[in-house]
Amino acid sequence: MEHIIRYISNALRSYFHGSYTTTLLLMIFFTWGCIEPYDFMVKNDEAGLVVEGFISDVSYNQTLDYPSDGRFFSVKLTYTSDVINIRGEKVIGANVQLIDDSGNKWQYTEMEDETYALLDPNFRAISSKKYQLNIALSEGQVYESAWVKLPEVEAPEMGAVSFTEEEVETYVYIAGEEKIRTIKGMHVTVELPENNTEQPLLNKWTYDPTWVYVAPLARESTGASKTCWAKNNRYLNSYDLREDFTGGYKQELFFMETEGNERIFEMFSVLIIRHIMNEEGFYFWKELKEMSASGLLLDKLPYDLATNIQSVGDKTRVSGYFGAVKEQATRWYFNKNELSYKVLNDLQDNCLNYGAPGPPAAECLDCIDYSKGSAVAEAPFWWSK
Amino acid sequence: MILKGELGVNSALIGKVVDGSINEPVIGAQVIIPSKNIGAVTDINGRFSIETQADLLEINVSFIGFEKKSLIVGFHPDVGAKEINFVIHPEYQELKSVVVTAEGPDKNVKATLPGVERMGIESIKNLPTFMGEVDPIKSLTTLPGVSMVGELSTGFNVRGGETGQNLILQDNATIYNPSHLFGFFSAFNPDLVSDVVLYKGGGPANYGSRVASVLDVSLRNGDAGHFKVSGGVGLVSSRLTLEGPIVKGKSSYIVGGRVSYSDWLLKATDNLVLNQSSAQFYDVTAKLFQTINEKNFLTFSLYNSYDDFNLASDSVFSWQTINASLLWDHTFNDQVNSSLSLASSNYMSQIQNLDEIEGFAYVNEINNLNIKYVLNYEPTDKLKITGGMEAVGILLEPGELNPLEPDNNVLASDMQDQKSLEAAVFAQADFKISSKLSMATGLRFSNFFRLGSDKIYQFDFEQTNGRYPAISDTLHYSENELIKYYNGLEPRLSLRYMVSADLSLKISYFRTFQYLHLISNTAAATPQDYWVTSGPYLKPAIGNQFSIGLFRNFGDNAYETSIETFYKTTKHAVDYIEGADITLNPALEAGLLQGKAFAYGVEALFKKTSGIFNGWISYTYSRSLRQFNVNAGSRREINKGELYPATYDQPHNLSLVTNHNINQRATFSLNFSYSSGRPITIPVSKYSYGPYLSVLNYSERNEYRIPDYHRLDLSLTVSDDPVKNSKYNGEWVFSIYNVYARKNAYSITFNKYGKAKKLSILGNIFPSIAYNFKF
Repeated sequence: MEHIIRYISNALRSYFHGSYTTTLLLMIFFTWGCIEPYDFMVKNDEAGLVVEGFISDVSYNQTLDYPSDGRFFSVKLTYTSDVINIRGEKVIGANVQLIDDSGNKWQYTEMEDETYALLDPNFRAISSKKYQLNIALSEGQVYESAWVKLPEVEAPEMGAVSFTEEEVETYVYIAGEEKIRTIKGMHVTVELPENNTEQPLLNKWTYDPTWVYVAPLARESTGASKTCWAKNNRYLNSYDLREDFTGGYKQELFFMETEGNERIFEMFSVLIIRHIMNEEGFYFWKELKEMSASGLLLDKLPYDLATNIQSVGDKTRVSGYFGAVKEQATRWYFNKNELSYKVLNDLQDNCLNYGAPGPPAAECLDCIDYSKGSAVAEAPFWWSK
Repeated sequence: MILKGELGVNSALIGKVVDGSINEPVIGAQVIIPSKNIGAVTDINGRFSIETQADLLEINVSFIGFEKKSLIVGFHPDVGAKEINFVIHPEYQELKSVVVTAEGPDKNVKATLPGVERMGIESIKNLPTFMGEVDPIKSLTTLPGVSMVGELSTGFNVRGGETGQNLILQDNATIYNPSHLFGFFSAFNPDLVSDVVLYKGGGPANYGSRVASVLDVSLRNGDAGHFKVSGGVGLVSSRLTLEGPIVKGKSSYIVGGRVSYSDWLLKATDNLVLNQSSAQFYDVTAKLFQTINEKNFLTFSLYNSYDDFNLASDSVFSWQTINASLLWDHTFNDQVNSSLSLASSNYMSQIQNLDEIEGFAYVNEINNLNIKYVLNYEPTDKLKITGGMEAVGILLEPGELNPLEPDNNVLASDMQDQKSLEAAVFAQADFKISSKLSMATGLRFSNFFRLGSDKIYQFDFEQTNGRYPAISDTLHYSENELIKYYNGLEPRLSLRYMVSADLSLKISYFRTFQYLHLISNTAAATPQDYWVTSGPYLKPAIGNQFSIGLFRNFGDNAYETSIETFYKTTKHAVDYIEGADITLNPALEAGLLQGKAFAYGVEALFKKTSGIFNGWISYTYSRSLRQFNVNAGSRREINKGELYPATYDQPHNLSLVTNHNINQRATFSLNFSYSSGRPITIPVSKYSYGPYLSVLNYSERNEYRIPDYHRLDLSLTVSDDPVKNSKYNGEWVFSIYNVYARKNAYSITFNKYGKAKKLSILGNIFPSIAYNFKF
């Protein structure tokens, strides 16, 4: 439903307010119309702090049992950039602390990337406590989150993960022309037990996929690796939300193309992580999804995402959300033989015919050189297939 | 000519005057013998008779719109001719400076009611046009206090009011979308329009239901004497009007239509997408006039307009208006007359997506039925009293979505229809207190009934559901059950004091209630905007406007000047909470806020009304600000509760219009307009978050402005050389729009990374040619 509303609004907005169709509109009657870049002189363009992080009721050690590589709680700190820059700078040298309403403190450690990690393997949020994130930048500016606490609702565990084969019509562009094409794939679903809590369950699902990649032309005698376990943090990196009142149905998660998808040629696994959220956090992620789906604001006037972080002592702009969630996870393995039809592994053909007359691509000869993600030659400790 | 008669003897000079173009008698022609200062007027058969002494006489025949004719008549007893037959022909020379009006040339100074802008169709036609299309609304924006936010706007803003706060009437029927092709063409057929009056403020008490202005467009009656044809051929549209008597001298018809053929422009481009696109409109306007007797007149008007376009996509956007109105004018006696009108207005806009997978039809509608009775009593020329009542039934469809195919990927959705009744009684008294002081007072008592059937959400403002208040309950109302009642007293007062014979001071106060709200997420009015009625959570807007102005004419009324200042507040102005969904949102009111709007400004006008060089310059400085905080009655703050500019706030507006009558046949016109850029909310920073590389942070609402707007247009109108005894008259209109090719910003858009692009609709010089004719 929402996508239709979005379509209506977007189409109209496009016609009357922007995007390429506006150009068309103008050109229709008036080939004299034009669109050209325009720069605003932005006032008060000081970079603002962006905070992204959460805590849950599952500790690092408990996440190992999902099974997974384990997850420490972390907070990503960056600055906003002006609109002509590509990426905001990371925050260096901040002092990040988590406190609870009993006065307990946990210190975050600055990592090499943009994150600060709470490296206590046993820490987990407790229902009876409230937590607050405190951030002190090296320049002295102090920020704090609102006091957050775990949702009170006790959600039943997720049920079995399964999939349904589907053929989906989608648009492809061939020689600049839009064509409808049917693609084969599967919708992965998870069973939601009946919700007898008499409260809505505000769910967010994220995915952590791993798959086996076999380099078709690798010869281990040369020291090359033939079988690797690959990850790519941009594959299945979206999230799904559901406000569930009843349960007792299969929740659609993500869609994977099957034919021509080398991730399922050998073995595919995904850790499906479920966060039960408070209302405020749920709507933050909901609006983030809506805002980012099109870039434009669809049928809404421009607005900023809500935040529960504030600068102490002034009204400096802060973005982001720090939440406390209840967490569940389940690992799912998939073998292409579970499909009712055969999926052709065409990697070898592609490697042999690739780049002729030059040598095959490096990933054909050594799986470590896998180009669609990072790969290691050793199976994760939890890999059971 | 020699007639039978004896010199020096009294005899009857008899004859007949005939319209040579149609060979019909001319009624009311003057036949005069200047040397004797006597004459007669022709009767219904075109005949006349003048008692005079037979002599060598010069006889002149004249009739408005016809050439004059003179004849020397002698008398002799032996000739057989006893009568004179005059054959006269219509005079087709353009009457450039002739405006038939019941008002004096100093009306602007002496009228009691300030803030009234009146433009005859001849004045409107003199302005430079875009593609040769005469546009009454764009013409009004050259006057002080009236502005538009852009070229692609279908509406206009009056004294800091929203586009949805203008009541637009055409022969008493409401026009909800006054434009074709996104505002490039007016919905009004200029060949049928006789008069355009704009009341900046509430106007007299017989008008109501909008807080910013009333635009009253009158259609003219068809010619009850002769059949006529007029029309015009332009680059993208043409028009044709037929009129004539049904029963000569008693009833008439006029019917006019316009149709576009803009597709040739699309096909003429090399762009494949444009070749696959289309845009079109048509409208038909008709009016019947019937004289029942000398005290009773009936008119019946019909209007149907339609637009659609698609842009090489599966979606067809369309909108349509179907209006009908009946007016009965009755004269009781010289002092009392009345009018009873019944009008139906129906507006619908639709998006139809023909996609194989996700085809749908989305529609919103507003339909109303209006009945109005007005009684006028004018016992003396110093007192005029008007009273009456009005009732409007309104049925709204705020939005309905249906799949085009029953089993496709679209879920049907239907916002609850809204039904309401607006009823008002009003009285207006205009009187002259003394030779210097006159007063116009009015009082309108309006009542609003929101009726079922309906489903009304109850909100718990203490609890939130995302950004919205939580829905705590749902109340169901049965058919015609009262959901909410509002009423309001709307006083109007205007005073005029003649400081001297050509200088007056005018003061006015208007209070108006508006029970309908236009929901729009754009600065300019667009076809997807829709109306909702007031209800439990949406109170009526209440406008209070004060104005004071000085009006002075010079040079025997050849020059008009005025300066007016106004201050207006609008209580319960509507704005949106951050992130509000307004399309197909059944709990729409949860996303709306009501606060205060303020507008103030100074309007100045200098006008040369006659002569071969005439025109006007108008300048307005005005601000339109809003405030949404607890003190303003808003449950939530916008922009931290501070004042912020409305999306149509354009402080400076300047218009210069000149007409130079080069000779009897040619007029050169110039129009220059300037306005401050309108406010806009822009992304000021961005960040990556979760899986998304770019999330935008925005400025305060309407904190920035798009660039200023200015444009120069020229036009030359050249009439055909008049052909003696020919009914045919034509004129060429050559126009140059945007002479210096200013790339005015219609809007600034942003991509997902926040980069701005300026969109210019007519970013270059645009010449056009049109041909108008009548016969």
